[in-house]
Parts: sequence; structure tokens; C-alpha cells
Amino acid sequence: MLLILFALPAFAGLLLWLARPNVKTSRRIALLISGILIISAAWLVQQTSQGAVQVMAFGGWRPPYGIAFAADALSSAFILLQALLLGITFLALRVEQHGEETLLRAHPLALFLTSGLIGGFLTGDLFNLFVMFEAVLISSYLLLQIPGTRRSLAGALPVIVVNFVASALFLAGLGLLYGMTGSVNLADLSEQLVNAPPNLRRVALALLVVAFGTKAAIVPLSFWMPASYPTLAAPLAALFAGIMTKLGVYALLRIHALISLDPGLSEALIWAGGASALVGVLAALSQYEMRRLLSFHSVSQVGYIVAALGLGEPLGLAAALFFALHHSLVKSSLYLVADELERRNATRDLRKMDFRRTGGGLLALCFGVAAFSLAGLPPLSGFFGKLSVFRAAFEAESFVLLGLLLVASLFTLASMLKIWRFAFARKPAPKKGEFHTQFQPGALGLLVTLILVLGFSAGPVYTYALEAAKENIDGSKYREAVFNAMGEGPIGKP
Amino acid sequence: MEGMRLSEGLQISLTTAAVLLPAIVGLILLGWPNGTWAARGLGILASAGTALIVLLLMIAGADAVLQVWEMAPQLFIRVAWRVNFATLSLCVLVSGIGALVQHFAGAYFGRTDKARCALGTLLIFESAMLGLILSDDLFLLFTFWELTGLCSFFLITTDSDKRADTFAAAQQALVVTVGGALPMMVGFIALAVMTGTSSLTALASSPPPLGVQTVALALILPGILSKSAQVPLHFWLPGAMAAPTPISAYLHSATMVKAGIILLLYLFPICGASWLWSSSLIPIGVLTCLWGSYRALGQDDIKLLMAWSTVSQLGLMVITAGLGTDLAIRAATLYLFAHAIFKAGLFLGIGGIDHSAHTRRLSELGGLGRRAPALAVVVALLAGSMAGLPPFAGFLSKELVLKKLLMAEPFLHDLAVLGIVLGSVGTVAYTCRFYFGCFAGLPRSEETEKALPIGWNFLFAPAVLGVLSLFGGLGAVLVDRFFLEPTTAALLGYSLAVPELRLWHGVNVPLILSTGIVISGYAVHRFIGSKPLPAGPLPSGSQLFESFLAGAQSIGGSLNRGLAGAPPAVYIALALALAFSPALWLIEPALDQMLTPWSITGLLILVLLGIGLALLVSLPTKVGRILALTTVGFSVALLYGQLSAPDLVLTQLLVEVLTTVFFLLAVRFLVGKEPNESKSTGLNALRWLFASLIGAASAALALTVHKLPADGRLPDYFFSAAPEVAHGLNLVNVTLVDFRALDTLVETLVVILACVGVLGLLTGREWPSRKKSEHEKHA
Repeated sequence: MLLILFALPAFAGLLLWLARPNVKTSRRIALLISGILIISAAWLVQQTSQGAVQVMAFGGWRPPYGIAFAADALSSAFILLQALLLGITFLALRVEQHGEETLLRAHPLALFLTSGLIGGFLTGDLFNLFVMFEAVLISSYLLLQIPGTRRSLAGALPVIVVNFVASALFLAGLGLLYGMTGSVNLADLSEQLVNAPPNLRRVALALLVVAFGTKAAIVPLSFWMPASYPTLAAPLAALFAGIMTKLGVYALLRIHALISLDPGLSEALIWAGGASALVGVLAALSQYEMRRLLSFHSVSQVGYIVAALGLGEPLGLAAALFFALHHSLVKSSLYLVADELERRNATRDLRKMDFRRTGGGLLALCFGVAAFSLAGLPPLSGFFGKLSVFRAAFEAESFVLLGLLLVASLFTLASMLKIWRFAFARKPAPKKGEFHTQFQPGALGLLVTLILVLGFSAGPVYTYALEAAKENIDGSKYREAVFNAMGEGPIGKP
Repeated sequence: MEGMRLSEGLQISLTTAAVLLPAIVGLILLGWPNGTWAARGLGILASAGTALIVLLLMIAGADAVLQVWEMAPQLFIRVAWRVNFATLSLCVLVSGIGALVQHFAGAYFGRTDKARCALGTLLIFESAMLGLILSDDLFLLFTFWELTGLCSFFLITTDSDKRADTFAAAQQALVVTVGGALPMMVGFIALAVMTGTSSLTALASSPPPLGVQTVALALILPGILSKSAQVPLHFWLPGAMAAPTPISAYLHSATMVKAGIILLLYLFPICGASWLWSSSLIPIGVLTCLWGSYRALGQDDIKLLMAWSTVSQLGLMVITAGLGTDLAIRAATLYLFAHAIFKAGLFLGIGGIDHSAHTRRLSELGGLGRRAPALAVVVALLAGSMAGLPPFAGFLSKELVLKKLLMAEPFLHDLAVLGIVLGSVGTVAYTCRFYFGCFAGLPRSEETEKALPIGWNFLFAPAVLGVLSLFGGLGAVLVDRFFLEPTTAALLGYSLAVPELRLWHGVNVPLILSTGIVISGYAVHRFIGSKPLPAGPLPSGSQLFESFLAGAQSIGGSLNRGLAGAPPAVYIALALALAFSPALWLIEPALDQMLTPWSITGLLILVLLGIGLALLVSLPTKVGRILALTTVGFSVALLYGQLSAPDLVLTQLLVEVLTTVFFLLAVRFLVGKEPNESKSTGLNALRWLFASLIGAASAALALTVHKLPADGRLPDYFFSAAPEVAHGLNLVNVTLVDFRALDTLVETLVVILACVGVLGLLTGREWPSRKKSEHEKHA
């Protein structure tokens, strides 16, 4: 099953790329694949929710000697999230709006991207994670090139350069860890690293944290992000916004057991997170272009996640996981709304938008749900995310962080209201009349429904996150499962 | 209260139905574009239906905590209703006034689409308010609390097609109340975490330790103060008057702004023992009460006058609750009900005045008494109650407040007396100003001269409320026995043994005080005359709020300009600096090893490498730099050779050759000028320093790791397993294709993707044509 999750999108991607079927077939296959992925991921979530860890050792080599995939509750949650977002992206990519060529290019590339991401979520091997990062990076670079314009090339450049440097730092950290412990297997590292010399260990982990922090786009490593995907077709931008920063978040969560060996690093994460939350939202508040506003918001929201992660303890990690899930859904739907607004108004500038083009109705409802969820109003998913983060901060007695997050929350609301004001609020108009445009909620409606579902099933989801967090901190089940991947027999091939 | 017994299941169903009924009807109205004709009828039915259900529960003597749904137990969120006499009577108040407002609003808006939306949203608000009152869980209460604010946001913008200022007002109201609620949320978390429960009932029956009470109260207070419009967070309330009058009547006087007071009443058994209770509530309440009264005397628009009067009277309620004894809670409760009734009625009456005279300005009104006598009588009933004249309910409640006051403790007592007495004088004064300004004298404008009496359609709701105000006072004994006593008992958890409430207690101190207040209030009114009082030199809260937002925005703007526009090199430097800073401490211990004598060949290679580097940074042309870079690469290969690692030499050479070739090919396509670096020497020195430090740190790292004892587990295993199990003698090959085959596979995919991607970029059909068209656009 783990292999299917990883290999299916890759093979489907290759198939679509090489065979170049017509658009309809391509779309059907893409949707079919994402459907299968969603079902398998849901199955995986169900399997791992009780603390079971699914392991698959490649080539029959027993970890830590070979590479193993290991899926616990944490990985499964991210895999399901990615599968859902992929399906929604494929649903939202429509020939009528985005053109045949975009679809034909986007389908295989998004599948490659998914394969890399799922591989990253699954792998139990730090070097393999690096390789998966590469796969993600190259497919996202190619996705960024789809528009084929000068602007898209220019926009993609900083993304690539910065991510490349981050990868190099990752590799350096990885090398150090290998030098210190002789292993790159995560389960093994968490045991070996306990006795490593602290000063070296700190450097190695700092390299990893900076690498992942850059990918997650936290302050002060975040400023490449907002300019990154201005020309991308909206559904793809939604996919990027939803998941790309989460790979960094996932990696940080995955190596949390290692990070927590060094209290200084956790402390650094808390402050970086708090600073991100505030700086990101202030920068967002000053924007007049909705996509830019939203991507600054990602910096801010990822700040909440990383701060919670730095707080550690089951409460902090559970909060980080819950918040990450919530934020992906909300941010993706806001990007889809942004696209709809840009198309209707034929402008990116909020100030030039006209409420009569956007009108009330379903689009406003969709935006309202997503925006107020982002602002953390109950009973939407964002409220539970915020509640869990605040609670973690409170119990960790991190009151300054709590203050920072409170202020950031206030400005989050203000910035969402800013969009509302320009795009949706009615104003006394000199000329009467509405320009009615048809709006089919489709993918956006589905996402918004997911947000509502997440809000109302916050209880079970949070319980799941808490279990995953406890698992992650304890780590014994994970280690046991990985080391026993090949049964109890002697080392090597049976 | 004895009566029929309802099973718990039935109670749960009835309570949930009562809470949800208005919202469901409201949602139907919002989603039913052709339902305009039915809006008013459905709205009244829903509110009245809820009121009936609640009354039924009341008659049945429901008194329980009803668990409905364990929504997120790990986050302390449960859906649980607390039904007792107090919560149910608050619900009757909310749904009863709701039905009346729906009746009035139907007439006020007419059968318009706007009415349908406004009435629908009002119904949703009503549900939220009922939920807030009935919640047993702190976070459920919080949910409804925020929902009321959200409904208020949308309702304030009802008239956005006519007025330009509605959005700013709505935004202010939402941001201030939600902002205040943020610390409140933390306060709730504090209570829940430190006591292990988030149930109001459980908390009230075993209050937390005093320290926890104080911390929680301090955090919760901003929420209460912002919602109930206390100075300095009061300014959103007058702004919210941009909403149509029926909405202001319902949300911004009768119900939503009471949420803070209601929460105070709920919190009294939980946090009331804290020293903070009185010492924070009384000063804030006094300030609010006085400032509200003063500003009410400064308004020309009677609706704004009424809004400021609401601010002032909310202050009065906070003072009373702040006295912090069970008797004070009783007085505050009575005042809350009396105020909701007369203030809702007065707002509706203002709607009537507006409808009759087409103006709300005191400078234009006057003489309405003769033109609309029925309205004058109804408003008189309500205004009399507000001014605290006998025999109205307002008199009764003010009397109770004063009586309580005279028994209070000495320290804060003086302040509270001052606030309440002066505030009451102000109340009488602005009531006179309002009432005589509208109804007495002669019309002050032509519009007003043409004023017409209004129909029962408009008059019914305020009349009902006026009559209630009157009978509330006249029937003091009944009110006490059947309403106030059980309500207070339910709020406090025990019955109070106090003398009965009466309209006439004989001549005593409160009565004398009351009389004095009325007389001096009237005197103040005569003295000031009809001119509005000035607002004073202080900037208004809403101005401060706007500049606060603007300030945040400009800080954000400079952050953005300063950081988001920098070239990638800056980000790279930042990432490197952060990542390598812990490694700087390793340089010094490793220094010895770095400087240990090198062989002659090694030194020569180093010199070569240095020359390459120097060329790289100093050559002016791209091609030259590429060649210099190649020199550096080859030197490294030589170094590998000197350290006897031939496989690395081969790899390095191959990579160098290929990159150089590709680089040179790519340079051909690069258009534009050669990089022209005229950076200052200072900056260059900084770069040198930075690069050297990072380089030294990396070298130190490598050397330090190298010194560690090697861990042999993996290499030993690989050496033995490669020939025996994998049947390959070349360890590198076996690693690539067997031990770590997955890495190789994925990397191959990456390379293929890169190649095909680049090919697509270079030969794609769209690419050149787009480029051309863009080029033409630029030209």
C-alpha cells in the first residue's frame, strides 16, 4: 500500500507525459488517480490512527542498512491532506478557464510533485527525504514554468535559488549527522544522537532547521516566498500555497525528536514562529494584491505552526499538526477565491475591484467561511487551531509568545476584512445594476465544505493529532516497527 | 416553581430546538430570494415560538445541565445547555424583544429584499444570543459570543447601499469586540486548564483558588469591556448606529451589548471573590457612566444620544455588578432587564419618530407631541422608566441600586456613589433633552411641521415595551416574587433573604436621593438648554482606532519594502549565517589542524586554487569568470588526487567539464550588459569576511567530525553484505543500485524531469511566441 501511494502518481505522471492523451482523457485519468490516492490515504489514516506503524523496507534490506518507508499517524495525515488537495486541484483545473496546454502540462507535473511529497511524508530515511525534496523541487520548478512567460521565469528564480541553498544546507547537516552517528535512518538517528557531542549536534540540527525553516518560510527565512507564484494558474497556486510550506513543517515535525535534544533550538523555533506570525500578518495587511496578501499570510500562519512545534510536548505538536491541516485547506480555498475575483474584475489590485462584479451570493459565502476561519472565528476550523496553539502556549507558560500570537490574530481579522471591504462590501453606487457572472462553486465549494467538516469534527481530528503527537514524542513504536521491518531474523536478506 | 416534570431527553430537545429555531428560519429566509413576502411573518413566528418553548421549560421548572454533544473533549469543548430560571428568563427577554423587533422591522423596512436579508440575519443573531445565554461550556459560550459579533458586523452594513460609512463602522465593531475577546479566550483557557473543567456550573459550585480567579478575570475583562462598550473600548457602539434603527434597538441596546454584563453575572460566583473584581469594575464603570452621560448631552441626533445613553447605562450596570455582593448582583440583574425593555422600546420609538418626521435631529424636531400624540405617550412611558421616575420599572431598579450602594464598603464606595449619582443626574438630563426636544415646543423645521401620526404597525412594539415598563414598576411585588427572586437565586446558587421589593418603602434615604437626582437632572437640562455640549479636546476612540490600523499597515509596508524586495543573495546570506552561527565556536579548536604543515604539492595546489578564486572575483567578463571557476574546480580535483581518492577526482573532473560546457553554452543566450559591480569597498570587505567565516566554519566542522571515532556498523555491514548477499564487489555500485536503489531511482526521475523540462522550456511551442509578443509589448 505504501508503495502504491508513492509509485502510482509517479507512474501515472510518466504515462500521461509520454502518451500525451487528449485533454479529456488526461483529466479523467488525473481525477481517477487522485481518487485512488484519497481512498488509499484514508485507509492509511484509519490503519495508523491506533498507533500502528506501517513499514516497508526497500530491496529487502533491513533498516538502518536499507531505506524504509514508515507511515505513522503523522505521515498519514499529511498524505491524506495532499491527496485531497491534489483532487481538488485537478477538479479546479478546467479547460475552459485555463486552456488545454496548461492542463496537459499540469497533470503529469502535479502527479510527479505528489509522488515526491508523498515519498517525503513516507520515508523513514533522512537522505531519502533529501532525494524526495529534490523531486518536489524540480517538479514545482517545472510547474512554475507552465505559463511560459518572462514573468513566470523571473518569479520562479528566487524560489529555485533559495530552495537550492536550503537543500545544500540540508545535505551539509545530513553529512554531519552521518559523520557523527554513521546512520541516516531516522529511527536509528533518534537513538544514536542522544550520546553525540552536543556542540556538533547543535550545528547539524541547526543546518537542518534552517533548511526546513526556509522551505516552511518562517521569518527571517521567508522573504523569498511572497513573490513566488504570481503567474501560476490559480488551482496550482492553491496547491502550492496549501502544501509546499507544509513539507518544511512536516520535516520539522518528523525530526522533532532530534530537535528536542537541543533546548536552544526549540527556543529558537518558538521565537522565529512568534516573529513570523506578527511580521507576516503586518506585511499582509499592507498589501493591495490579494495573492501577495495571502502569501504573506502563509508566513504568519506557518509562524503559529512552528511556534507550537517549538513548544513541544504532545499539546504543542498536536496543535501544530491540527493547525497545519486547517491552514492548508483554508489557504487553498482563499487562492481559488482570489482567482475568481481576479478573473471577474480583470485586475489584481483590490482597490480596483467592484462589488457589483463579485456580488454577494455563493462566492461571498465561500470567502466568508475561509476568511473567518483563517481569522479564527468559531465554530470554524481556525478557531480550534488557534485554541489548541494558545492552550499549548499557555500550558508551556510561554506568555510572550501568547501575546505575539494574540496581536497577530487581531491583524489577521483586520486583513481579511480588508479584502472584504474592497471586493465584497456594497457601497453606494452612482450607477445601478449588477454584472452577474455565473459562479460554479465546484472545487471551491468542496474545499469550503471540508473546512466546515474539519470545524465540526475538530474533536476527533484533534484527538487523532494528539495521539500522533504522543507517538512522535515517544517514538518507541516507530522505532520498533522500523527495526522489525524484516522480522526478527538475522541482519540482511532472508 | 412546581409543575409538570419533563424528562431530560425532552428538555434537551426543547432547549436545542429553542436555540436553533430562529437560526433555521433565518437561514431559510437568507437562501430564499422569493421569500420577501414571508419574512416578517416567519420572523415573528420563529421568535415567538422560541419564547413559547422557553416559557414551557420555565413553567416546568427546568433546572439542569443538559449534555448534548461532547464535541472536542480534549479541547474542553462540549455542547451543554444550562437551563435554570435565570438563563431561561434571559431567553424570554431576548426572544420576546426579538419578536417585537421583527414586528417593527417588518413595518420599518417594508417588503424589500433588504428586509428579508436583515430579518434573516437578525434571526441568526437571536439564536447566537440564546446560545450564549444557555451555554454551560466556556468555549461554547465563546463561540456564540463571536457569532453575535459576526452577525452584528453584517447587520451594521445593512444600509451600505445608501451610506458610505457603514463598512468602517462595522469593521470597528467587529475588530474591537473580537480583539477584546482574544484575551478572554486565553482567560477561558486559563480557567479550564487550571481547574480541569470548562463547565460554568461546575466552576460556580467549586470556585478556583483566588490567584486563578484574579488571573482569569484580568484576561476575561477586555472581552467583557469591549462587548459591553466600556471606556476606553466604547467607541464602536455609537459608530454601530450606522445600522438601521430596529437593528440598533435589538443588538446595540437590548441584547448583544448586554452579553458582557450577562457574562459578569455568570462569572460572579466563579471569580467574584478576587480583589480585582471591584477595583477594576467600579472605576471603569464610573468612567463609562459619566462619559456616556456627558456625550449623550452633546448629541444632536437622537439615535446617537440614545447610543451614548446606552454606554452610560452599561457603565451603571458594571458599577453595580462591580460592587460584588449578592445584593448588588440582584440589583444589576433587575437593571439589566429594565434597561433592555425600555431601551429597546426607545430605539423603536426613535424609528417611529424618524418615520413620522423624517429627521432625527433635535435641531429640526419639536412639537411632535401634538402631531403624534400616541407616539408621545408611548415614548413617555419608556423615557420615564429610563429617567428612573416612579412608578416605572426603571425607578424600581435604580432604587435598588441606590439602596445597595448605601450598604457598600467604604473605599470604592465613594467613587461608586459619585458615579451612580452623577450618572443618574445625567440620565435625567438627557432624557429631558430627548423627550422635550422631540415632543414639546414648536417644530424647528418644515419637515417636522409636516410630521404625521404613525400607525399601529409602528407603534405596537414600543407600546408593548412601554406597558411592560409601567407594569414592571406597578407590580413590584409580583416582579420580585415571580421573577427577581428566582432569577437571583439561580444566578447565585442560593436564595437571598431580603425584604421584598416594593414601589413604596416610605420616606428613606434612597427615595430622597432619587428625588434629588430627578430635580437636579431637570435643573441641568434647563441650565444647558438645547445646545449640544462640546466633545472636548481628546481624539475620539474611533479616530485612534483608525490611526492604529493605518499605523500597523504602514509598519507592514516598510517591513515588506525592506525585506521582501531584496535580491536572493541577501536571503542566502541570512540562511547561511543562521545555519552556521553555532559552528563558529568550532573554528578555534580546529585551527591547529587546519594549519598543520602542508606538503609542497598541497601548497602549490592551494596557491592555484587561490589564484582561481582571485580571478573569479576580479575578472570583468562572464566568460572569464566561468573559466576561473573551472580553475577552482580543477584545483579541488587535484587536491582529491593528492589525498589519494581517484574516484572522487574522476567525478569532480567530469562534473567540472560538463558544467563549464553548459555554462559557456548558456552564456550565449544571456542578453544584457555585463555585470557592472561598483559596490563600495566596505561592502566587498564585508563579503570577504562573511565568506571566510562560513568557509572556516565549514572546514572546522569537517575536521571536528573527522576526529570523532568512526561508527563501523554500516560500513562493516556493507562490506560483508555486498559480496555475500548482493553479489557485487564494487561497494559504490552495490550501494547505488541495491542498498539505496530507491534514492537512485528517484534521482534518475529528477534528472529526466530536469532534462525534459529544460527541453520543453527551450523548444516549447508557446515559449518563443510569448516571448516575442512580450518583447513587442515592451517595444
